[in-house]
Amino acid sequence: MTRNSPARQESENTPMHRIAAALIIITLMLAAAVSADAEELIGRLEYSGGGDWYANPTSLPNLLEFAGEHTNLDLPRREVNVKPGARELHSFAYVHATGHGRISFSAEEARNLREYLLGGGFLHVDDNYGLDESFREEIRKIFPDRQLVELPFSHPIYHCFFDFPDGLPKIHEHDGGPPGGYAIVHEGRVVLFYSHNTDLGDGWESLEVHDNPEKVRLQALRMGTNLLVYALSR
Amino acid sequence: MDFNDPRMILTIAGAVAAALALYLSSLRLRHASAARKALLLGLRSALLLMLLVAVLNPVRERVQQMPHEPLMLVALDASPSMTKLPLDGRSRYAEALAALEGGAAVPDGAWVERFLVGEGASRVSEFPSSPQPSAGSDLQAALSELLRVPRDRRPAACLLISDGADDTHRPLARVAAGLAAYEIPVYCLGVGSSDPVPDVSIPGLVGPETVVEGERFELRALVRAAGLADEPIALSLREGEREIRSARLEAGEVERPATFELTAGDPGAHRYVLEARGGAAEATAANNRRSIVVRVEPAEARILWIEGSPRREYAFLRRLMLQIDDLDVTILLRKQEPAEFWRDDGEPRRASLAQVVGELSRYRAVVLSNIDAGALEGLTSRLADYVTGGGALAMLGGADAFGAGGWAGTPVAGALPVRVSGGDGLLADPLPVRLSDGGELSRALLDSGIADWERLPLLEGMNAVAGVMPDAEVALQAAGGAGAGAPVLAGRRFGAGRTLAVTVDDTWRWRQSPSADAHSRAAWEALWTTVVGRLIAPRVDRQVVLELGRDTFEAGEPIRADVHVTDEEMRPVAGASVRIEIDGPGAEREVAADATRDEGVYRATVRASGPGELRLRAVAERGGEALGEDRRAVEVVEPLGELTDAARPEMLEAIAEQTGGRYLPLERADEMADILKLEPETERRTVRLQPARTWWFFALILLIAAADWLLRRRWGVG
Repeated sequence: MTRNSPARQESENTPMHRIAAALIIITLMLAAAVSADAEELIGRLEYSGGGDWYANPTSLPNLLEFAGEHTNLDLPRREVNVKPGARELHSFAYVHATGHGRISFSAEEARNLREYLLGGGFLHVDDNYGLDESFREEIRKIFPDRQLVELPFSHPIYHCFFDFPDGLPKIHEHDGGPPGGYAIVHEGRVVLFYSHNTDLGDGWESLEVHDNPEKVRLQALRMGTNLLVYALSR
Repeated sequence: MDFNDPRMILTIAGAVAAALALYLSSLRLRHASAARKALLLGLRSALLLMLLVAVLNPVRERVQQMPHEPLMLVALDASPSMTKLPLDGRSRYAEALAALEGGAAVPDGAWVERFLVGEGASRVSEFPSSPQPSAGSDLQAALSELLRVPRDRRPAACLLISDGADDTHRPLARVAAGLAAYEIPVYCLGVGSSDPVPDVSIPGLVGPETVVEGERFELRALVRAAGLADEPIALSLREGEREIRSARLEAGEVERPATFELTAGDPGAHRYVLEARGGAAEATAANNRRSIVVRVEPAEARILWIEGSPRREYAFLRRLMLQIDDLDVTILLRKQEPAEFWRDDGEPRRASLAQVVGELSRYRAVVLSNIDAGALEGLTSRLADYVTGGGALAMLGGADAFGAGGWAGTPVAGALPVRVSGGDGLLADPLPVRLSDGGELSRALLDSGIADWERLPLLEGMNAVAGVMPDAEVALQAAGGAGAGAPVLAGRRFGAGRTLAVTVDDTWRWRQSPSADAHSRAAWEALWTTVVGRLIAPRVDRQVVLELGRDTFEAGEPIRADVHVTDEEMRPVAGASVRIEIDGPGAEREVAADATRDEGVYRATVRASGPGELRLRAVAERGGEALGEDRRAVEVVEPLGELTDAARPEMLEAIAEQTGGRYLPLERADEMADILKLEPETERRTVRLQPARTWWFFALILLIAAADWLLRRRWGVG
């Protein structure tokens, strides 16, 4: 250990040294305080079968922005595409599937999806028109022992943040008729929510895409927010 | 003849000097006639003899008979029962004074000293018509005070006029025997009626100290209806302002028991107040109420979970909580900043945080899960008190937890097992964890059979903390990354409660992630069942118990507070520093409790001068370490004085009998003088006579000297 001379102490107290020392401290503090608060992973299911899984490209970013503004959910700005058979699927808090046409799962994909959903994951399937028939067939691959059940309007998924006393809102007319909210329920928890005959994703899309009335868009975004709140709290 | 005696030597010297002086005088008178010479020599001889006597001062003792008046002490009781009772009409004191002023009670020819007696005795020249009542009465102490005083003349007798009521409740025999020791007969005149003073009181109200929620229990009361045995009594049992039971005790016995069957309500302290309604004729209503506190423990373990936001960690933990048998979880989930909370343990609905936290005593544990201190502003002190009082508290990690959540410097931070500082943020560096050695938490995790904690999926980051409290146990710690070595799971006892800290927020990755497997899922289960088990474990028996015996006291009455201090193994703790903090009307702020002969028991005496609620908090420490605390609240009522004291002639009879006096009721006071009949006393006194020290002796010396001088001048001789 050496004793500093007065001259050396003086040189260490120059303004430049002080600024450098402050910068080093600030850098170290910033490095230590980098947020480890990982945003929840939101996924888009990249299924096979021919359906346009990539439909409504602005829908999820709009929903994430809306939900982030109205709740304290820690959400990313965009979703991440994920294949049904990927192990990465298990990192997602909420996975969204939509499209027109056919959806198909391989046996491995069905097994992985089942494991994901029963292990704590959440899948929202939104029939963008024409997905219903194939989805109802494919869901039997994932849950051969369970049935899709229509949720009562009193279910928490309709009330956990915004209140939907009449159940799913009707967003887009295709075949007419009321919208239907169906689910696979495991141990009291909805692990898969299927929105039929409403097209929530259309309502989430940017205004210029479908020119839906603002009130209708708002209803769709609010219902989507409920789905996210439910997925991250139940 | 003792030649060592200076007086003897002085006598011989004086005699020799006198003989020499007479010889010289005779020489000077040789020319005088024989008659004149004889006369002058005679005078001088007498003078010399008297001077010799004056110097030697001989003493003579003689016994004399001295007649004098007998001394009599008259003591008039001026205690509250004498001056205030009966409630209507002339007081007992006034009756006694009238009898004394009539003069029949005191015999003629006695020398009288007068005293007012109560708690003590004070001498008065005359008895006042309206004396200042004493605070109480202690006949033995008061009479002893005036009987034991040394006097020139021994008192021939003491006359006590009293109702015999005595605050001390000493046995009659003991009082009488104590006064008999002075060997002065005490004659007593009894005043007042021995019929009970009409009064309803509740001497006792008892019940269990602790019951379990929903349990049926009994409160048993004893109601006394002195002088009102033929009157029914209405009873009302209240909790707070609400009457929960009423009863009517039919006329009959003076002492009537009453029982109330109750069902334990919500967990927490319940104060029940029993009130008896007597008639308008009763002496005082101040003793018509009695209260008791019954502590209700939760029937099943209840946890209050306060969650900062919907997130994956919470969703997984919520599922686990709701699956555990016999666990009742109340969840407050914040869904919008800054403080929009929802109940999330059942149907989702908006809820008031303040209302739920206001009922903390209902819960065995509170979990603060990624919630910032700002959201609980104003409640953090209560949370810390809750832990000190025996509750369990856990803080779970996240962006709004520990230092990142603004908890540094709060009362809660002081209770946690980790040190929280304002500069603590989040460390975004993947980390494995490892099990630490030792401690209850570590053993519980080890017993779960999970090995290779380091092999679990990496966590993405953790809350930075400034260290671990010295008395805390670290069960899991970061095995790598920026926070290597930092605590991941730590626990600590704090006060009578315990706290836990989990500094990570993505253990769900062990439950579900690309690399999660059966081993990691089992580890997740083991971790959180251990945490929950620790939180809901039955409360440790309080290490500090404040015992007061009852919870209603009269103003000014000493309240004996015993503090029992035990360690975690329930062994008595010696050498503790115990103090009692007091909050209430007219009381000291704090008193120290001293160790007693019983190990682990510390005692202090507290007094409250005014009526109202008195809150006591006993705090025990040893070597700077807090051992715990306990609280009690008691009710202080207006002092009853002696408003309910009937006359006790039996006390006066006992005193008179034991001391050799007589007892008569006041109505027969005129007989007392005849009974006393004190004869004049004569006293044999020994008198010391010293003639050489009398005035006439010195006058005689001067006369002889003057005669000698005049004769010598007249006759013209020497």
